[in-house]
Amino acid sequence: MTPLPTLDVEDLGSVIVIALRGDLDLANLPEFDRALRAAMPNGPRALVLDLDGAGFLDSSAVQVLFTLHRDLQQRRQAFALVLDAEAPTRRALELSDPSGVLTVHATRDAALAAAA
Amino acid sequence: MRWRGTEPAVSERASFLAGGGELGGLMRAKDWSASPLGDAAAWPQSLRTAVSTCLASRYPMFLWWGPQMVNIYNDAYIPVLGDKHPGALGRPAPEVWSEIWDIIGPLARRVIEHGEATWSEDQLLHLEKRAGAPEENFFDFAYSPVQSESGAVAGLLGVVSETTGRVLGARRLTTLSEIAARTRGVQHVIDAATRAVGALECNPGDLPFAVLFDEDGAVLAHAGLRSADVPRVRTAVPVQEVLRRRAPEVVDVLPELVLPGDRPAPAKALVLPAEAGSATLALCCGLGRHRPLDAELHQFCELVAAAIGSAVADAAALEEERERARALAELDRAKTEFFSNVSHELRTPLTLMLGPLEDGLAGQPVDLDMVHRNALRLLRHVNGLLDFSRLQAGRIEAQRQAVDLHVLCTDVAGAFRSAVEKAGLALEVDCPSEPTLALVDAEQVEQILLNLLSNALKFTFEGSVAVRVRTEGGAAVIEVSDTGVGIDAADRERLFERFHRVQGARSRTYEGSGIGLALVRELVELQGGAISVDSTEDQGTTFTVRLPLAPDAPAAALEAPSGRAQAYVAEALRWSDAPADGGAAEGRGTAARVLVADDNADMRDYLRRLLSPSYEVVLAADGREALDLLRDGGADLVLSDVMMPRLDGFGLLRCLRENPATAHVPVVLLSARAGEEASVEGLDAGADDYVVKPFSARELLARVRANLELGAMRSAEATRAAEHADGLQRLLDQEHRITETLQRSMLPAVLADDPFTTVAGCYEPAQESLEIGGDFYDAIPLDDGRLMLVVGDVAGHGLEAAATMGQLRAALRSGVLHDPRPDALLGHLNALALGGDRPAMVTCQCVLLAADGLSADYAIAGHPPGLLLGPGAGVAELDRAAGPPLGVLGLASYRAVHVPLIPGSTIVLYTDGLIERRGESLADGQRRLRERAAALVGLEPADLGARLVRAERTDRPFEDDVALLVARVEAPGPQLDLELAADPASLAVLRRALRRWLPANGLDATEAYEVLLACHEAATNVVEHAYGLQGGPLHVHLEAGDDGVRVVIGDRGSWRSAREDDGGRGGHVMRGIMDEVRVDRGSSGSTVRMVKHRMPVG
Repeated sequence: MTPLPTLDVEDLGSVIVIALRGDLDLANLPEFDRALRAAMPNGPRALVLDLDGAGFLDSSAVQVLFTLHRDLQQRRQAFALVLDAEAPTRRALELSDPSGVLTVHATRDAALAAAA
Repeated sequence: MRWRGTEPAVSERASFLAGGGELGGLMRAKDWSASPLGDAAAWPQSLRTAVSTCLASRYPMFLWWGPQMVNIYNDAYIPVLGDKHPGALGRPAPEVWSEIWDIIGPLARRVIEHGEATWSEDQLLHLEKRAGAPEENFFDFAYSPVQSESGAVAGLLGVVSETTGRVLGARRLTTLSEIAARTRGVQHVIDAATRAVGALECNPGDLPFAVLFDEDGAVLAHAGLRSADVPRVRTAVPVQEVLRRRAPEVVDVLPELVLPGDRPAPAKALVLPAEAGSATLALCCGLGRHRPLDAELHQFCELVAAAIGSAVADAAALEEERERARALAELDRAKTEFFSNVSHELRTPLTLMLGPLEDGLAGQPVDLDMVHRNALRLLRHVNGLLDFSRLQAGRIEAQRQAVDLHVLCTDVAGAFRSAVEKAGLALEVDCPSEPTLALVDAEQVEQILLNLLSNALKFTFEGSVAVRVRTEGGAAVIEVSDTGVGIDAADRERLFERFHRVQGARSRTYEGSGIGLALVRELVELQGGAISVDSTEDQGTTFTVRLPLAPDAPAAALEAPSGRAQAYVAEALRWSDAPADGGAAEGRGTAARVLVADDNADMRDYLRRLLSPSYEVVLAADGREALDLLRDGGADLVLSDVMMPRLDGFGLLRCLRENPATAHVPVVLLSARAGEEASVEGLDAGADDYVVKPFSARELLARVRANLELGAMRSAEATRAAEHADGLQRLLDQEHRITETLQRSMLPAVLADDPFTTVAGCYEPAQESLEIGGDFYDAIPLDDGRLMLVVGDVAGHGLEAAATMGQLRAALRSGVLHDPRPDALLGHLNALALGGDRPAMVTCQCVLLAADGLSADYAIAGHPPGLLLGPGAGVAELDRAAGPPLGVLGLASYRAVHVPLIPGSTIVLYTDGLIERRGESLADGQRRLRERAAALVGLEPADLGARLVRAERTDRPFEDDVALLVARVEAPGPQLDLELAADPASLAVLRRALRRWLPANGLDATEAYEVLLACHEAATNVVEHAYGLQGGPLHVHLEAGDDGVRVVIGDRGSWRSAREDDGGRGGHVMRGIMDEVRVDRGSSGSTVRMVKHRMPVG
C-alpha cells in the first residue's frame, strides 16, 4: 500500500506553501487531494505546491492537479508548482500538460516572487 | 393657467425646473400653489437646490419635503413607482407608499428628526406597482437629510436602486446548488427525491411548495405542503398530461391550501417534465403570489426540474451499481464456499490414495481396492469440474441422436439398484412398454440421471427412489423422485445456481461441491430441454426433466452404462457402510482410546488401520454419533473431520468443551480447508490441533501421540487443580491458548512482496511452559525500494507481552515511514517503550536493505546479533555497535553500521529463545548457531530457517518463544515477471520492483524513471478500467536485451468503452516516452506492448 506522502504546510499569510515528500499514485491520490484542499483556506491569494521532494508523479496525479487548479481559479486563487528543471518527475507533467496550463517554477523563491 | 405661455416667468422664478426630462416638464406644468409646498416661485433656495439635484440625476432619486413629506422624483424613479406615476408627484410620501410605510416610515422619520443618514441593502418591499397586486421587490436605498436655510432638516433626499434581479438570481442559484449538495452521493432513489425536493424549502419565495411525481404519476416526494393537501394538489394538476406530452403546463386554479407557517398559498402552479435518465418524472411547482411567472421564473423552474431529475437518475445509477456489487459479492462468497468444498472433496480421496501408497513404499500391504475406488472418485470430481467449466465456456456440444429413454433409464437405474437397496430403500422404475425416443446425447443424459439418482439417495433415509419415463405434451419426460428430506422453498429457487449448496440439510454424507445440479441444468439445456423441481419438506422431492422427442427414427444402439456410472455407484455404495465395527472398540487393554469421526467410510477404514496397532479405536460416522459413543465409553482423544452431516467437527468440538466431563479431551480436527483462517477458526473453537489433508501417515501418528501426551498432562493438571483452586488451571490453559492465538495473529501472515529479496519468517511458541508471547519479526517494504527487516523480543510473557508486541509492531510500521534509518528507528521505539502506557524492556535488531540490494545498514538494541551468510562459505555476525535494550535508558543512543552485500547474501535474524540453554553461556549458543548456519548456506530462506529451528530443537524443547527471519538478496536478472492484483495497492509493488530492476539492467536514472512512468501508466489503466468491482490479475513482463527494454502489461478484463478517453491520457504519456507502443484490446483482456530502444553507447 502506498502511504500518504508527507505534506508540510507553511502559512505565509497571503500564500500557502505545501511541500510534498513521497510517491503519488491511485492508492493515495484521493487522500492527497483532500489534504491539499483542507490546507487551503479562503483567505490566501495563492497556493504553491513544492514537488521537489516528490518521488513519483504520473498522469493521474497531474489530473488531480488540473482539477485543483480549476477550482482554485474559480476562487480567484493562484496555483503554482515548484519542480526543479532537471527533475525526472517533470516528465509526466510535460507530457500531460503540453500547453502549460499549470504554472511550474524551478525554485520555491521564484514561485513566491511570482505570487507576491 | 398655463406656465408654458409665460416663458420669462419660468426663467425667472423656476429656472431650477429647467430640463429635468419628463418630470421636469410635469413639475413645470403643475400648479404648486395648491400643494403644501406653495407656489414654486416662492420655494426657498434649499428646496430649489434639492429639486434641481434630483431632477438632474440619472440615478433613481426622490425628495420628500416639509412636514408632510411631499414627494418629488426624477425620471429614473418612474419604474419603481409603476402605476403610481404620475399621480405620486406632489403627494405626501406616507400616502404614496402606504403599503410599505410601516417599514420605510420609521427610517424617514429618523432622518428628519435626527438628521441621520440611512443605508439599506437588498431590502424586501412588497410594492403595489399595480393596484391590488403586491409584488416582491428588493432595493438598496439611502436617505440623506436636506437642510433648510435655517439649518434645520427640511426634507430628505433618497437614492434608490432596485436589486430584485440580483437577489432573485442569487437565491435561485443557491436553490440549485442546494439540490446538488443535498443529494451528492445519495444511493436510494426515494432518498434522493426527498432530499432534492426538500432543498426547495430554502426558497419559499419562488417555490412555496413542490410535488415530485414518478413516471406513473404517483407522488415521490413533496415539500412545503401539509401531507393532507398532497392528494388534493395531485388531483388538481395535469400530471399525466405533462408526462405524456413532456411539455410544461400552467395551472391557474389551485384548491384552497393552508401552507405551514401561515405563508400565503399560491394561486398558480407550473407542472414540468423532469428527465431522470431513461425515466421521465413530473414536478409541480407552486408559484409565489408575489412573483409573476415571467421568463426567468419559468426558466428557473425548468432548471430545478432538471436538477431534481439528474439527482434522482444519479441515485438510481448508484443504487444499481450497489446492487451489482452486492450480487458480485454474493457470487464471490458462493465461489469461496465452493472452492473450500471442492478442496475438501479432492483432498479426501487424495489422502486415501497417498496413505496406502506410502504404506506400499514402506513395504507394507496395500489396500488396492481402496486406492482404486478413491482414484475413481477423484476422477469423477475432476471430470465433473472439467465438464462444468467446459459447459460454461460453451465448449461441449451434444451429439444428439434418437435414444430410447426406456432402455437408458432402466440401465442406469439398474446400475444404482444395489446402492439403493443397500441403503434400505426401494427402487421403482416405471417405463412404458413401447420405446420413448428422445433426440439427445445418450452419455449426457446418463450423466443427468446419475447426478439426480445420487442426489436422491443422498437425501433419502427411508422409503423409495423412483424413476419414471413418459411422453407428455410433445416432450419426453423423465421424473426422478424420492421420499427424502425435501428442499425448502427458498433453496428451491436457487437450487440450480452455480456454487449454491443447500445448507444444513440432513444427508448421508456432506459430500458434494455445489455444482452437481448446476451441471445437470446446463446439460439438460444443452439437449434443448428443461428441468424443474417440486418438493415438500420431509415428504420428498421430484425432479422433472423434459427432453425433445425424436422424429420417427431407429433408436441408436446403447452401450452398457459407462465407467462414469461405476464411479457414481461405487461411491454411493460406501455412503451406507456402517462404521465398520458399529462403534465397538478394538480391545487393547490399557491402550489409549481414540475416537474417529468421519463421514467417509474409506477414510474411517484408513484411520482405523493406521491407529489400531497402537490405540483402541472407536468409529463414528458423524458428530452426533461420536457424542453418543463418548457418553458410553469416553475417549482419550477425538480425531474428527470438519465437514460431516448432522453435526460437523466444530459443532462436536463445542459440545465436548461445554461438557465438564469431556472438556479436557484433546481434539484434533481433520480438514481440507487449508490456510491460516481455518486453523485460527479451529483454535478459536478450542481444537488442540488441526491436520490438513492430504496428510502423511507419519505426520498424523505424530500429532495423535503428541496430543495424547498433552491430554494426559492436562487431565493430571485438571485433577490437581480440582483439589486446589477450582478451575484455575483451566483459566491458565485458556490464557495460554488465547495468547498463542493472539501472538500468531499479530505476526505478519505474508512477508514483503519483493521479487528481489526472498524473505521467510517463523515463530515457534515455547513448548513446555506458559511462557508465550512477545517475540516478533517483520519485513517492511519502503516505497523507494528499500526493505526493513526487524526481529525483536518483548521481555515478559503472556497476554501482556503479546499486547505490547502488537503496539510495538504498529509503531514500527509508522516509524519506518517517518524515518527508516535503523538508528533513528531504534531511537523512536526506545522513546515509545519508555513513554507508553505499559513500559516494557525490548531487545531488537533492525536491518535496512538498500534499494539496489548491494548493502545494508543495521542497528542493535541489546539483541543477539544476526548472521550474514555469504553466497560462499563465510558466516559473519552483524554484531557491531550494539546499543542498550529499548525501554531502559532515556538517553540511549544507537548507531547504524554499514555492510556491503552481494547477490546471494543471506541475513538471519533471531530471538534468544533459539539458542538459549540451561547451563550454557549465550556465547556458546551463538557459536553453535554459527556453525549450524554455515552448513546450511545456499538453501532457500524458508528451508534454511526451518532446518535451523529443527536442529536447535532436537537438543531440547524450546523454553522460550522463538522468532526467526531469513532474507536473501537476489540479483535482478534480464527478465522480470510480476503477477499482481489489479488493485491500487499493487502500484507501489510495481514501482519498487522496477526501481531495482531497471538500473540493474543498465538504464540510467532518467531512462529508468521514464520507463517506470510508462509502465506505471499502463498498469494504472488496468487498475482503473479493466475490471469492475471484482478485480482480477495484472501481468507485468519486462525483458532487457542489447537493443533495449521490452515491456508487456496485460489483463484479462473487459474495458468499458465509456472510459477509453480517460485511458488515452496515460496512452499519451506512454507514447511520449517509449519508442514503440501497441495496445491490443479484446473481449478477454488487453495487452500493452512497449519497447524502449537502448541509446547507442558513446
